[in-house]
Amino acid sequence: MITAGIDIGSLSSKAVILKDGQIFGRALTPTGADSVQTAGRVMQEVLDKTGLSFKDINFIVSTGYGRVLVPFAQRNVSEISCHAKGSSWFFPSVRTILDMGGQDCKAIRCDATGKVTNFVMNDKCAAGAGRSMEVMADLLQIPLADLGRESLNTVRGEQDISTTCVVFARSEVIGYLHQGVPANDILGGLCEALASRVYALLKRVGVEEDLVISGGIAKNIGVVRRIEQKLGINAKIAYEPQIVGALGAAVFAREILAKIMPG
Amino acid sequence: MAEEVTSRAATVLQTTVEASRSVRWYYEKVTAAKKNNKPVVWAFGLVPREIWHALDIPVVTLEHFPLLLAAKQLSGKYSQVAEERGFTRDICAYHSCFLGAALSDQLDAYTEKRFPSPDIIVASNFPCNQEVKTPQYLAEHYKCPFFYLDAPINPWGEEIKKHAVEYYETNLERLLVFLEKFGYRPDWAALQESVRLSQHLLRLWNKIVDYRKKAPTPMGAADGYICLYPLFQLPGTGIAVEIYERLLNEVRQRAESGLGVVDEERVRLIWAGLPPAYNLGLLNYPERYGAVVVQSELEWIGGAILDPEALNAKKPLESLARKTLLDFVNPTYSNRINLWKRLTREFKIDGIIAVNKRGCRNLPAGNRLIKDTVYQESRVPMIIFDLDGVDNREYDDAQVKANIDTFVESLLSKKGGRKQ
Amino acid sequence: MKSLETMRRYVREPQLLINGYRALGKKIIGYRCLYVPEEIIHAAGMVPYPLFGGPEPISLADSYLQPYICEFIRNVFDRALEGKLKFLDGLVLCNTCDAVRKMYDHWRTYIKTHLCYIINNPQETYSNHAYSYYYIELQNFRLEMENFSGQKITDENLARSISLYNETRSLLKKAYLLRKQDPAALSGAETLDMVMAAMIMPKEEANTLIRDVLKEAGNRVDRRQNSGPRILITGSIIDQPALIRLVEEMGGMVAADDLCTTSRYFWQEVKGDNPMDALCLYATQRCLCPCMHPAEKRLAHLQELIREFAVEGVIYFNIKYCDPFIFEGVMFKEVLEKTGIPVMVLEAGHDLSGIGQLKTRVQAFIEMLW
Repeated sequence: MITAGIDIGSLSSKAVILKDGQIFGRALTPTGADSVQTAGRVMQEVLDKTGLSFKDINFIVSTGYGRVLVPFAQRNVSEISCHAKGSSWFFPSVRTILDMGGQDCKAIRCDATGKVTNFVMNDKCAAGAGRSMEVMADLLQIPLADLGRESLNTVRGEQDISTTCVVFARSEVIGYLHQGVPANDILGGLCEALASRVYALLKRVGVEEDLVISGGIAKNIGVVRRIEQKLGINAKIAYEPQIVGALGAAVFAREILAKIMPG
Repeated sequence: MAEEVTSRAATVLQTTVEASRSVRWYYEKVTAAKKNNKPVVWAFGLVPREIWHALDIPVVTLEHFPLLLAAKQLSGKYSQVAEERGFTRDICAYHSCFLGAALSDQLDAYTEKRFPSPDIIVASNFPCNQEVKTPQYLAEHYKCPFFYLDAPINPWGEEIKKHAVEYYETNLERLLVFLEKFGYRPDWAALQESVRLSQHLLRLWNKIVDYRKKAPTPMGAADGYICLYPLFQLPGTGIAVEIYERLLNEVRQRAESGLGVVDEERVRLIWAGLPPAYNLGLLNYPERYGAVVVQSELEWIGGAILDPEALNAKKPLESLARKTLLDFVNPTYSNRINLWKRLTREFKIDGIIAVNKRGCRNLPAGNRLIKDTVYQESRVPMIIFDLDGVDNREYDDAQVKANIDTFVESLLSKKGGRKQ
Repeated sequence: MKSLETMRRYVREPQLLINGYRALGKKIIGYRCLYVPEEIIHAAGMVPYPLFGGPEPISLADSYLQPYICEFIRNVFDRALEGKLKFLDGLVLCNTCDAVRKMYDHWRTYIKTHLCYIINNPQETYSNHAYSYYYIELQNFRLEMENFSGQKITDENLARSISLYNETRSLLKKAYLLRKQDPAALSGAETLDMVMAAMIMPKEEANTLIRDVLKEAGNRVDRRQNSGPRILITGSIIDQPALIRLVEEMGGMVAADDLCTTSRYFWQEVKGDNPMDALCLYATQRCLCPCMHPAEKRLAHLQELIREFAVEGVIYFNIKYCDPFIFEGVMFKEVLEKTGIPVMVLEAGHDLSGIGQLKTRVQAFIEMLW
């Protein structure tokens, strides 16, 4: 049985192929202006990598912001359900998932089968999400991948950031740079601000271990450490956190297929 | 940014120190009462304070406690606790801060000392919807007896209708009956005395206000803000009257010797809406331009706009009904409009600084209306910008000051032009 | 369904109705919200006309009512500022939420219709004191309407108006109850259209059309059984079917709704021999809005709907800055979830901006219930 999951996010799109319960292939590509085209591209990429062709795939489920724009998917499932399902596949012991994507941030609770039991999502706003980190990396001229590590190495301590709106934070950060505040301290403050917003979100669903962090920001060790500190527990980071959604979609595809295929 | 914020106000009066001491005195009284197993009331909405003092009921009010926390830079921290429970950041910070303190697993030492848990919760829908919602939630949380005091609105201005006064009066009577269940016997003589003291306090307040109209003003908004506590929270007590008698003397002396808040008073301002409790120094900020914030609108809260002679100690509940329903913070604006017409006329002001508070649906929504009304009456301009008086988390000092700078400079240049 | 199509058309093009009222020489009195007794306006020979928002973005109102006020009311006020409500001869408001009350002085100052009146109803219900106070308010309002219309309101006329409006209420309720069955003869989105049309239409015509809807619904063949979870939508005003339609498109079955544009409008009837007493009783024993006290009455009502309509999940729709529902959403979510009913709070602008994200939440909620 071969199934595929495809996740069209606001910043990047991912595809995962599951074959006999194993990840057989995966691909990741930036989301272009045209989601339909992007969907085709990322799907082709994963097919090329695995040497499969469209007709080999038994069932395709799409998810993510552009999930309804995937013409070749048989079903679409919300990214919230997919993140729970995908995380549960990686870590069967997971009960709480924090997913921080490009535009939004979700705290999800699930049961042993990866079925969602409760969730909250932050407002439609780049605050508390990947987008703000990209803006800041650009502004501070620090590579995105190094942001988290650098934020843990503050010089004089974290600089308080008063606003959580990325638009205003940008001008506040420029102000601090002019005042000569070290970039690392500003980063520390930004990661702290992000972590405390996310913490509030997690408190709203209630945290039960194990906690898995997925989405782009899971790679930002500065934010992750601060969240762990606030909660007093260690988080598990999904290996390849960005593909959790697509993987969840592929698992859903498998489950649906199992239901419709007799035996 | 942190260095520049001057969180304390610079005050000029001796009596202001006493007024601020009365805050501590009262909260200590409440804590002591709790220790002696006296039932403590949490009150929401502008329930007439005279009733608490007449019956010697220890009370923590929503209208004051969050301001204390804000002054200690603790408000944002507690608001976040409420947000963790699912309240959005768009609700009033008075409420989120109070809710947060009530729902916190652990209080800081400062709050702990001043925040006894409730035995009774009383809420009135005056002046806004939120005033009832927070206490409902907390009554459920504490499994606490709850009383709802319904207040009609007042769209009639000063000509308030008799049936509305009577309705509110009846509801106050019902409150007294409710309180009796907890051992607080209704004491008519004490209520009369409380209203008499409240009336006396209002008379003193009006005399002080008259002196403050003079240029240079002997007392500005920074002192006014701190001296508001006895007027707003302790009416009906002897201590409030004592403080205001001394305040009147001091203000009179300063006025007679021509002592102002600044050496040369060039511009007179009034603050509309809530000044930032976590950074009261902002009320002094315009002084660098010779501009004085003479008063803040807030000083009139709690029915201080009422003619003292409209209170009648023989009819305590009716008097308190009038005092509440004529309060300028009523959900409809007729009395606020009247207040502003009077302020601009009598205080000879040059400009108004008005702030929008995100969580508030009451005063800020009328800022433009006040601006237009005042401008039509007297050509006095008004600047409006965003500033939350309680929540310090999004305070942007530079932006706020830039607004004030621009406004005051424009007033100064206009004045300069007029003189020549 | 032809009858439903006609009603839907009136919602989309209310001008058709307004022209009709005008042709009859009727005064049109705009009102907000459900605590304004329509019957008194009607008995004075005028048309009570509930105000809804429009699809256009807000342009002028933001500088009058600061942007931290309910977007629905800003939208209504914006329409007034833009001159789109010129057909109104007057406005009647009541004492409910802060946003509605703010409109009173703004309307008097900036819109200046010949009439702008606010009924000072009590917010405490089920109280004898509130009853006698409200009775005076109601009498004052009756006098005001007589003066403004120049037409005496006799008790007979008032009784006739009440029975006409009661008939609308009971017919709407009949149609609403259709969703107890599966397949339901009417969808949630269709019900919303029907109620909104009935609210703005002449009641005689509305009653005929609702009767037709009930007849035609019985013969419908296009409705399929819905295996999806049964959902109750409650919260701030919903005056366009987008959200309800979204839930239904995602496979949810909007089994019941508790909105001021649906069931809250018709749930109870005005009952009693003396018309003024009946109206007074109606308003003071009706706790259908979170601005009213006691909250337990509303909670009990919601729980009854949940039981009666076999609801499996509740969606709380909060328009941004709508305090009564923001608070109630937090409070009732905790209570209802303890009884095993999941609740999702959805916050959005009146125009449902960011519908993409709403879609994700709604879909995930339905997947969770499935």
